[in-house]
Amino acid sequence: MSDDVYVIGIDMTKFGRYPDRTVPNLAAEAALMALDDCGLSIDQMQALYCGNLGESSGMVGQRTLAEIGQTGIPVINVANACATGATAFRDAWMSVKAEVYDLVLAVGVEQMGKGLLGGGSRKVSTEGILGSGTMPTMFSQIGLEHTRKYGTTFEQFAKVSVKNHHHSTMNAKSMYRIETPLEEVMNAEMISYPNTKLMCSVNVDGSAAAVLASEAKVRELGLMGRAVKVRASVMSSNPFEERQLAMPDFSAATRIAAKNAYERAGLGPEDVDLVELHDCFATAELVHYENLGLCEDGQAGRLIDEGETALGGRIPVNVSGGLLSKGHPLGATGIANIYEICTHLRGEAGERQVEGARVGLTHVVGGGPGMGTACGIHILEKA
Amino acid sequence: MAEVENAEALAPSIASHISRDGDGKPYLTGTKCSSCGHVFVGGREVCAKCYARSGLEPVRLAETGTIYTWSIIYRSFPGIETPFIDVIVDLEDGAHIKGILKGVEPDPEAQYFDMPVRVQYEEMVPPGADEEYLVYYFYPADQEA
Ligand SMILES: [Zn+2]
Repeated sequence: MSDDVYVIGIDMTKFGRYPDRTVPNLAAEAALMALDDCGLSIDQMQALYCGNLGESSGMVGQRTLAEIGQTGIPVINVANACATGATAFRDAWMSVKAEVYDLVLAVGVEQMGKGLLGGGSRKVSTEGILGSGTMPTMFSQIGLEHTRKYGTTFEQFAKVSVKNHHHSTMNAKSMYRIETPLEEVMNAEMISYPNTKLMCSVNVDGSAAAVLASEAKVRELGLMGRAVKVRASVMSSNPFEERQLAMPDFSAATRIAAKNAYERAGLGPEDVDLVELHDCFATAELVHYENLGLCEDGQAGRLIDEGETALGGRIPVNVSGGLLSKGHPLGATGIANIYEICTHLRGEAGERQVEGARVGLTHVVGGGPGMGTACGIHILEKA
Repeated sequence: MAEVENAEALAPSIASHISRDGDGKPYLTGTKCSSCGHVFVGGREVCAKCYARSGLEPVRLAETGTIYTWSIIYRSFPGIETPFIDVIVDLEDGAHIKGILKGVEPDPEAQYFDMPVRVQYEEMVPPGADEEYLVYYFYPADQEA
């Protein structure tokens, strides 16, 4: 028997705005859905790994168990910027890989306000004086860095948003499900050039959860039929980069994680059938095509122009609608992306199904000015 | 006594990497690693690039450079005036620093890559504050102070 780890149950809530609910209550919903997905019960789980940012000192995992069953299992609460959900999933994976447990639960959850993220907590803010600390600004500058190197245009960045919004019309769990034609994306309110409002991810509430098991346990439970094998689970932080103290770097961390993930999986980008990557802004998606090796450096603009990353293309990216339209509940995103890939590998994605998908990759990367970067990549394969 | 009064009269700096010398003249603080040569903005005791734990020398940063990348900010937090041009500048001594470009109208078509700029210190009252702070802006290098 191998030491491979499998996802046997996974699900997510519909992303939306649930101001009247609590964070643990949202987490509980996805946790129960994931358990139901594999027909197991909370008292079979040996540990809970819980990812949340907004209430990261509030023991969200324990409060979640208070809603679905207090079995006395170890609870590990994690916070790691936009990689929070992926970190919880990876910690769960590691615990099974290390043979400490053979059946565990991971959940990611977030409840967010509307509006801009970023800035600092200084007494006198430097916002608008020494520059801008908003997230759109960081990713706009990263986009224009790509323009500087390769001539990528505003229109090419905007096409990412057209594509992902189109994908979301086929996903019932997406926050938005509307077509946004190119002119509409480009003429929407400019937030930080070149990202318009329709090129910024949506702040929403939601949760996602996964049940992970050892190969022996999957066989014992008779659940190999819909199981998904974790071929690689990799994280990285920002290595030293020339300008990172002035402009946070998300590319170098992604490249480290991608290289290590492909090595661990013994696969290359050419083996991947679909990708859910961190499109927190439209500019980010194009940069990550290259960081993840989906194309050569400088070819990202061509990829979006030629439809290679649209559903039906050579390597579909963000067929869920992505963070741009499905929504981005920070702590939930990393597991929600894994849910999307598993759904395709199981052949259960309905009209947005990537036909014949056998291998999928998820990527999240987060951080902020003066903080650093956390990146998580998972490669998953139909069992 | 006169010295203390003088010191109190000077506007405080809005960020730790803006300092004043003995004459009250503003400058940007930096650190140069004598092992790898990297120039950091602000003070530090260990090099993030080569991990050297000694030989980090305080320096005054260059006050001219060129724009590496930029964005025009149309939406910021409440109370912050927009639009403005946010720039990442490569200073002549190799340091990289963020700031705002003044002296030109924000225009996406203008493409600010590689524009030579200079640092200018000013005193202003930030939104929500009740006193002046020492800040810096960038201006096109060919615009006189
Ligand atoms: Zn050094």
